[in-house]
Amino acid sequence: MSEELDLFREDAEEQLQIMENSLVDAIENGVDSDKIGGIFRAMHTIKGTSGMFGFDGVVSFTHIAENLLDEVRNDRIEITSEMLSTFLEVRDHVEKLIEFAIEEKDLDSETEYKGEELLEILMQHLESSSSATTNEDLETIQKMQELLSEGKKVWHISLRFNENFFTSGKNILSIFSAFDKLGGILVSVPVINYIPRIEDITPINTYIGFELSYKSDVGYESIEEIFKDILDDIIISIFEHDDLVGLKRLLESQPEGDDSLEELLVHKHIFDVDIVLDALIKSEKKLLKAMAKKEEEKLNALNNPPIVEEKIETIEPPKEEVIEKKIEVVKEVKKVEAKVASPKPAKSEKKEPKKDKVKSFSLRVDSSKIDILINQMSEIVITNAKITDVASQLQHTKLSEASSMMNELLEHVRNGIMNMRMVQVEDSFTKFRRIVNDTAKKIGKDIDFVISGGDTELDKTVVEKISDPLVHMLRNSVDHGIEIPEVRVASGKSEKGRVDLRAFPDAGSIVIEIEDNGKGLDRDRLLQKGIDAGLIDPNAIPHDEDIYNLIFSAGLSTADKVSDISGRGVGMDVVKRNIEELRGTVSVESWPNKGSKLTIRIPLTLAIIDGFLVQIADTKYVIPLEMIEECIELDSNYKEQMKGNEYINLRGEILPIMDVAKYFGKASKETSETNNVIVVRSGTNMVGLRVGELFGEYQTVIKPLGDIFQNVPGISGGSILGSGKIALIFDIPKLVEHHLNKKAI
Amino acid sequence: MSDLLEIEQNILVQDSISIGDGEQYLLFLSGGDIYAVESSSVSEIVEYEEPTIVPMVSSYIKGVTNIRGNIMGVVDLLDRLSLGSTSVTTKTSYAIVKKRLDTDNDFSMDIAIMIDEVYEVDYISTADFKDTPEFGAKIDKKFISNMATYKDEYIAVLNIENLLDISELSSLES
Repeated sequence: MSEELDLFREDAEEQLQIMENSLVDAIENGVDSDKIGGIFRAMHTIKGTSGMFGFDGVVSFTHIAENLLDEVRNDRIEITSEMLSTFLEVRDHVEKLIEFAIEEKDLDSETEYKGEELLEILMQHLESSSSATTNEDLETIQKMQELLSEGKKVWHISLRFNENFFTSGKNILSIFSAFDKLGGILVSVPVINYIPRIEDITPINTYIGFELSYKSDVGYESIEEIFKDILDDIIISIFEHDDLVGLKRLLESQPEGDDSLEELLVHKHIFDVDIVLDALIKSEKKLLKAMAKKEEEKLNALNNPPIVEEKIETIEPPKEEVIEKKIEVVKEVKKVEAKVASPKPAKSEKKEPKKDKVKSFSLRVDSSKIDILINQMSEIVITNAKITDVASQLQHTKLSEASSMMNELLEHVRNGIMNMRMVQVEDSFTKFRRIVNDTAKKIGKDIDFVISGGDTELDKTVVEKISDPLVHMLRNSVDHGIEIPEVRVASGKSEKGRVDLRAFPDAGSIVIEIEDNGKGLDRDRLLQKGIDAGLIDPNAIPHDEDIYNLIFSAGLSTADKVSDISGRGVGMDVVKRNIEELRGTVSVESWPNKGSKLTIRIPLTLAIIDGFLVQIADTKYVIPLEMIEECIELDSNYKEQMKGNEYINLRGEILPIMDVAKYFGKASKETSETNNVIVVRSGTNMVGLRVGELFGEYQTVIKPLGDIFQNVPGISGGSILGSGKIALIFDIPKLVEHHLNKKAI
Repeated sequence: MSDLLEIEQNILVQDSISIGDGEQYLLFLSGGDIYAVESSSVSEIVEYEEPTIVPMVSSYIKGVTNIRGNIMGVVDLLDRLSLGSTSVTTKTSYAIVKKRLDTDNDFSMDIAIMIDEVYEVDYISTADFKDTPEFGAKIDKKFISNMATYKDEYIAVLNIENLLDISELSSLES
């Protein structure tokens, strides 16, 4: 797939997501102009960009949807909840259309049928808007249609006056009276959008124009004759009402990017939407331009109410032209334009969007570019470490100072680069709204879904990878956690359940909590299942925590019946594994009849690891900090306890000790003699790792070791140390798992 | 280091002129023998630095090394060919070899091969190629793609695909 197409897909996905979020928000919290604006913009942008790729199917479908939204936006149609759900379907349909378009496949019959069905619904709504227009308008249109069908000539006259028309001594009224002699004006729409603000008006200037529908049997020359005396002072175009070429020429003659005329002609029902669009399509470049420009302007209009804009204009705006993100689209259009039409350098220069507002803008950057920067950054840090080394060897104070200053600056730069990968979780969280609502609706539950901490920032890749597990957990909460309304009322709770999704930073990592106020986990049942599955010793008295965390074990489900939502007993273990792959942890708390809370703790980013650097045999290793519970020293007391066993009693708990060097078959005298034990937690297992020298906390960039080392158990990557040497990074859960399996054999 | 640079320059110079009908080869010494690999699969020659040992891998995987910020696996050629192990001298080098991971696409990974000394970069004409003898060679036949005569010497052109077979390299020490 070409790069452009990739960008298009990405952008479309984003727009569809925005649309969905706004729709769901509107359904839940009521409609307001912001949300409608958001939905409109999304449809509009997709239409525009699809047009550039010639995805006509998408363009024509989104066009209708956009029209309806435009009517809603302009308060001509009142939006209903029924319409909102239609738009949700529209959104899904557009998604499909785009998929088909990108893959260059024909629509399957199901999609095609769905499209027709949706179009019909949309058209119905649209028609209801047309009927809402005044009777007078309707009459004119009908009359015009009648005349046209009778074969009578209806002319369209577009008339603009030069500013100094009045000084020419001509009289507009005399023209209109001449008109009446030759035929009759059916519709007369003044064009008033060129009237400046009151302080800029020169009283003797003309600022208005007219769009006229004129019924007359005479020919073109006779009509032109009326204007012959003033042709120098006006801009006129005359063509028959059903002359598409004439319309096209008129629309093309409009200033670049100015689509006010199109809108006027459509809104005042002088021309049908389709006709105008047809004319625009005839003139391809204009269409593309119109779309991109229109989008930009509409965005502006939406983002800044006109009044504000005017104010800004009057206070001499700063000269800088800050181009907002959507400018991409315009650039694209220019490219296409260069292909379809002969290049007009002068014109395209004029087209440079004039932005009077200073806005921060965002760039879309391939994440691999950032990765390269991060890599090079760590290289620079390493090189600088070498300089520091040399400086201290030479005992060169100034050089030492400079290099330590450099180090500090580099740290800032690195943090800055890292920060680029960070995105707010808001968008991805809002996506869950629909899932929660749909799930709840399906099983007849009423649920308040409350999101907080949406502004928490997280590495983009982490956000993507955490999404699936979160969906699963949310579904579980809705399906199993929250009771049906009757049961809730019976147990003295409010009818409506509540599911909270929270995110907040905590001690260098991000915590995500999913809490419901449902019935809580069934402790006894879990315990029984745990015993049955041999996961829990029937004679032991386990902690509640251990029992609840059984939900993360494979093959355990407490649901009585398997629904298509959850309850198959696969899932939570997968969720757990997914989170652990992100070097995160997950745990659950539960209170009978009060609800349960899932707590996920994940690192801010996958690219950097906070670890603890240790020596084992000849190699340095990094143990991820979040896995470490504590460090202990194996003093003679412990050693006595061991008596050749590989475990110790740590505050009443049995702690298996794993001599990593021995395990790796690299045992040497020195390692066996060290007494450092790092206690790590992997799920419910606590293991003490016997290691060599401890070097302390260490933050580093993770690098892959490559396929050669894919089978080495418990090593997830490498990290380049300040010396240029490599330290290996432990994957603690896998290491422990492998160790346990080996023990079992 | 200076002779390494020379070689690299040599590669550059010879890249621009095409001589004869043969391919360009990197010739190097390991354990007293000359071996050849297609120079197109060698991206650079780097000074040897002691690799970081990775546990549990085969003996011919010496560990990992840092080549300008990328972590690469280190393969001891002699050990891989079952001819003992490379003894490190000041001339020991890494030949960074590109190994394609998939025949269908361009994914490749770099592997650092320990060699004793760079000998020459030169063209070998296809006319100088000889078939690999069925037996008698001291290294496994699968590692040789061709034999060739070079300056009256019999040398083995190594089969990179088999030499750096990922599934073999990644198998753990039993």
